[in-house]
Amino acid sequence: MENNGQKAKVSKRKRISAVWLIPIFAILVGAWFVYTEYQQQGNEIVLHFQSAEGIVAGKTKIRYLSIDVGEVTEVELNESLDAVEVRARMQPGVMPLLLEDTRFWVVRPRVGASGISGLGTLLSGAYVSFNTGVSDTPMRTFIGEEEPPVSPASAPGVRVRLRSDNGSDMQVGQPILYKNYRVGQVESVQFDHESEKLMAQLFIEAPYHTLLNSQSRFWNSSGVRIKSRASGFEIETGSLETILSGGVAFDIPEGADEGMPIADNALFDLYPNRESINQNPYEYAFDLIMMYEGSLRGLLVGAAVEFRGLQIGNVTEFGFEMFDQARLAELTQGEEIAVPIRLRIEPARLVGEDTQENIDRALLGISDSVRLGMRATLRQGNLVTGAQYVSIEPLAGADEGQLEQNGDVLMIPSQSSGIDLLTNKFGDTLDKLNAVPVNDVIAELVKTMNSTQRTLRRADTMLTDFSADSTMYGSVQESLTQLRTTLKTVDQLASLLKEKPSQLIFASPRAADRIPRGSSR
Amino acid sequence: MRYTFKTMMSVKSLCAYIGAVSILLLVAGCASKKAPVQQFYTLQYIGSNEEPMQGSVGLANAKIRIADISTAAYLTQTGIVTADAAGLIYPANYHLWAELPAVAIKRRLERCVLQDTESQRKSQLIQVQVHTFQGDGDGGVVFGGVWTSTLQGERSANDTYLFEYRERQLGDGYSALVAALSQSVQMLCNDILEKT
Repeated sequence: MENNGQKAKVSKRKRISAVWLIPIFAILVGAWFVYTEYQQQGNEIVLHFQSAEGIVAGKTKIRYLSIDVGEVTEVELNESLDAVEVRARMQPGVMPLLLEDTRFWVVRPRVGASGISGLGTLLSGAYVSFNTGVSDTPMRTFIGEEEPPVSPASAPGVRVRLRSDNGSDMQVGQPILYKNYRVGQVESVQFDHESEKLMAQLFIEAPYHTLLNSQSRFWNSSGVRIKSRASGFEIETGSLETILSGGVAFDIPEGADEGMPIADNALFDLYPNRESINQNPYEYAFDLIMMYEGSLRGLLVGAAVEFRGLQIGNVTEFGFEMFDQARLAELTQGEEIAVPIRLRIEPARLVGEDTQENIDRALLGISDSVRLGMRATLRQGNLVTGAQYVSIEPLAGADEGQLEQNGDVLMIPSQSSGIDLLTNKFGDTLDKLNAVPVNDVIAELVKTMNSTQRTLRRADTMLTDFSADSTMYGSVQESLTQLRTTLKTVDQLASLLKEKPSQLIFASPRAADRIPRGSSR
Repeated sequence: MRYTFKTMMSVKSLCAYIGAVSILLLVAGCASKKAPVQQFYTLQYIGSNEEPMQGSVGLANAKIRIADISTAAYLTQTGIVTADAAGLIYPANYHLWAELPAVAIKRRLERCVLQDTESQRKSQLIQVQVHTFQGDGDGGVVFGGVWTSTLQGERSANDTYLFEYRERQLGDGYSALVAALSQSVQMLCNDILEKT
């Protein structure tokens, strides 16, 4: 056996100690924890609020549908130092909800027109809530709402804008009513200082948003309205909620057709009441001016203009201020002082379509009728309230007249109504009656009645005394008989003295009486 | 002084008047002769069953009431009337009724009919017109006329009766004449009670 004497190189193979597995494992575990923690922290968002009232870092939760989905991590002033910047960590699962139109607000206890909310936060503390939007753009920084939004942006329905001249007409949360049923609410209200109008955003919930169309008109249905009209008193109320907190209602004017569907963010005007939406529902109309010499007491703007009992328009204004003095003198032509009344005539109320051709036909018809004696006059619509309306009707004894174009106004001849004249005469009669000294007359009448009663009592007593059965009657009869006998005796005496005047002194003896003889049988 | 003078004049005038009246009375007394004495008569109560009136009789109970009685003109004086066969009448000058005949007859009839308060007849008013109430000059008296009865509450008479009662005068003189006339009045009362 040959041994070449070479020694085998024995090299010691280096092996990694298994001990190293421990730190590696520790690193991996730590990395896992870090990753897990990072995953659990979620994404950070930034919210801007006017105030941090009730918000505490590390304590205030962010909830969605009453489930904790995040937590406020930091609260600090913003860079301009005029608001609060709130940082929060959101769970990863809710990040798809954070879109461009997602709105955040702080839930605190609130007492408002729409009720009491957030009472649960009295014990648990305030929290931040949000509702998701419909946008496709993710967002991590939001401007928080100071008031909770009335309806979520994702709620089905339609949003419209409403414009009003009165700054107190609408408030956030007020209901929107259709036939006194709540179909939506006022979402936001702001006053536009440029147009000096109140602008509100309304949300009409589905499926009621289909009730809204281009012919719809909104009016203020707040509280209770009691109005005196020519037809009597009229009480107009909404629901109990609107009586207490106000509200807005909408409908289409009476007689109007359904309009076209509206787009989101359409603009409407707010009318003061239900009646006003029916005032001028027609597009085509013309104005007439009547110069009235009678009393306008009881006439109101909006009073009906009727033709034979059918309304064809409204009184839009009246009074001397409608024209300046020179123009007024020109219109009255220097005659009796008359008050101008402007009438808005809408012929489509009576007949035909709401077109310019119908206007022309109506003017022609009215002109012909005025020529035959038709006049505008005031009538008493309600004896209790004294409300008046304008009636265009043929009046007896009216002369031939015509519609007169005087400058820019079309004048219709007018005449004081018979009731007006009758009222004046009745007033004169009442004045005369008032001048009668009623108290003195009544006092004299009472005296006369008392005297008459006393006289009647005496007469009654006398009649009783003179009845056929009374003592006095018999006494009088007896006295009369004796008087008659006496007179007869005096008559005999007078005859005797006439024949023998000396008989008064030398009385002749009377003859002796005949002796009546008895029966011899 | 003036007062004394006037008083003396008044006394003189009064004496003159008294003297003149005395002379006149003396002359008148010498010229007249003595007149008979006047005698007055009343109707007598003849009814056999009449009782003296006692107490009062209410109108409600008086079934028959006598209205005022009217008499012929010649009976409206107090002289008792007699007539002769020719129909001439002679009012007496000295034999007189104590009261007018109408009053006396009514008083007598009332006394008679008011005795009847218990009967069931209806209340009635009796009116009497006397045409004759005198001696007939033939030994009797005549009492005639008309009487009517009217039911209470009615306006017109429901019954009318003519009557003429003749009675013999028992004896001469006015007392017998008055007794006969009283008897005739009683007969009228009996008829009224019977026919009403």
